[in-house]
Amino acid sequence: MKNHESFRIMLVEDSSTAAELANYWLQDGLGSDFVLHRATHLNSALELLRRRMVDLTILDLNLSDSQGLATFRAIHAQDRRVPIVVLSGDADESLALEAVRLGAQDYVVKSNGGENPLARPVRFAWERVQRYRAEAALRENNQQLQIARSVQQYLFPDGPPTLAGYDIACRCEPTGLIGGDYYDFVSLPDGSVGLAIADVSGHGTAAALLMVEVRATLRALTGQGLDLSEIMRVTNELLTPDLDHNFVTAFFAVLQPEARILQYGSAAQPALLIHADGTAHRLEAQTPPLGVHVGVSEISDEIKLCDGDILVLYTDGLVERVNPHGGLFGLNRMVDVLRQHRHQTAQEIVECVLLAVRDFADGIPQSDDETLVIIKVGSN
Amino acid sequence: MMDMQELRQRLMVVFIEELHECVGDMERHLQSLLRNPEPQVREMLKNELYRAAHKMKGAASAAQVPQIQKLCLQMQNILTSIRDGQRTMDDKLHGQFTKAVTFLREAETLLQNGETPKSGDSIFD
Repeated sequence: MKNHESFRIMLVEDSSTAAELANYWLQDGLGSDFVLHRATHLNSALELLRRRMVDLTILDLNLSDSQGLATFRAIHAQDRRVPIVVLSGDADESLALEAVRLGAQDYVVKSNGGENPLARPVRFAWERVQRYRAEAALRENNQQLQIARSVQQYLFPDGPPTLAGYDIACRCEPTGLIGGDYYDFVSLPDGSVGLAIADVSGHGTAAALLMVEVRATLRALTGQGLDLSEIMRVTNELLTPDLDHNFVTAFFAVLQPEARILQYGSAAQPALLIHADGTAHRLEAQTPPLGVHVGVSEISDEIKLCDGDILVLYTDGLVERVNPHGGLFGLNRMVDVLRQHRHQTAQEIVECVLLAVRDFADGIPQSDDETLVIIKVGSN
Repeated sequence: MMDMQELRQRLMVVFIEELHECVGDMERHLQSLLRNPEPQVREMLKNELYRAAHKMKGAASAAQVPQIQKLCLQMQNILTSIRDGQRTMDDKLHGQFTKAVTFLREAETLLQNGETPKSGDSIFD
């Protein structure tokens, strides 16, 4: 397998006979999974390094255009990341020590006495190269994820909307740098506010990409005069071909702030309503998640909100958080926390719920994205 | 992957080609030195001789021809002492180098015929 992932070795050796023997040693030590570039002069070796064609240099110090440690210094200075094994005809210990001091990975003496002097150093170098490549790929991946995170953060609302008579707070904590949870607030032309929370199945990059599509679809449909059931139906029709084996649970709502009327629809994504007296009411409709199949009639319902009501939008990552004993945090525990802190501000309630979930988990890291939106009625 | 026998044969083929080329270079450098060139050119020619001797020493080691390896090492050491000012390339030494190159030329023929070169130890005595 000689491809770009192969081990690219530069043999700097002006003797064809010595190069032939070194090639044999390399095959003996590495099999055929390496690509050998031979340079007979310093200049051609430097050119190969400049073209980033080298993972390991095997270097004879004495060439027609450069001799001794000057050869090593020139090669090393060209690209310090490329390890160098000095292959010399001289068993000169002081030269070997000096070469290693200057940065050579190894100094081996040419001999054709049966033992392969290159086997160990090239295998060691190959391990280093593979580790370096893996680290570079990881760094690249992390950089890409950081960029993706920035983009995703930009897609979330800057903060909760300021609505007279409402106190709103929200938080999304993805499992990794990016996630598949989504929440949104959209101001509509008639003064009402669209609310959305959605959870794309899975998490990580794939879920995050689908989350972007959910957001784009929903944003494109809102404000076009469609009622909530129609928005959900069309969203489902548009998303289904793209979701493959994934699906999206979602809770969409339109809040008329002054009238305190909440119209909502749920695609397998419940919400909670905690009343001022502490009683809890689950808001949900028996419709499947988005993306499972087309032609589903989406159902919406309507409620009147009262002073002290708390509308709680959440994703399942919160209630499905596990502790070291395998227990689930669960909906009941979350309702208890909400009841207990219902007189506090929306932001404080968010913090209390997340803290309770973390305390329950007792060090077990989250395995799913966690999102919470608290909308408290009559708080300002 | 070649076996050791095949490797030796392959190395010998490459070595004979390299020896032929290198001996030709040495002959030219020695001829040029006889023409008593400018000091700078003399230095360059002696350096080229050193390079050729060093290269053939390594090649002979790889091909396991110890007689040539040893002779080339002697040439390399003498050229080092000349470079360091401990010896000069006088007529006698030039003659010895010429003999050494002749020895290498004959060794090339012997190796081509599958024979073993004799020792060249006495050349620089």
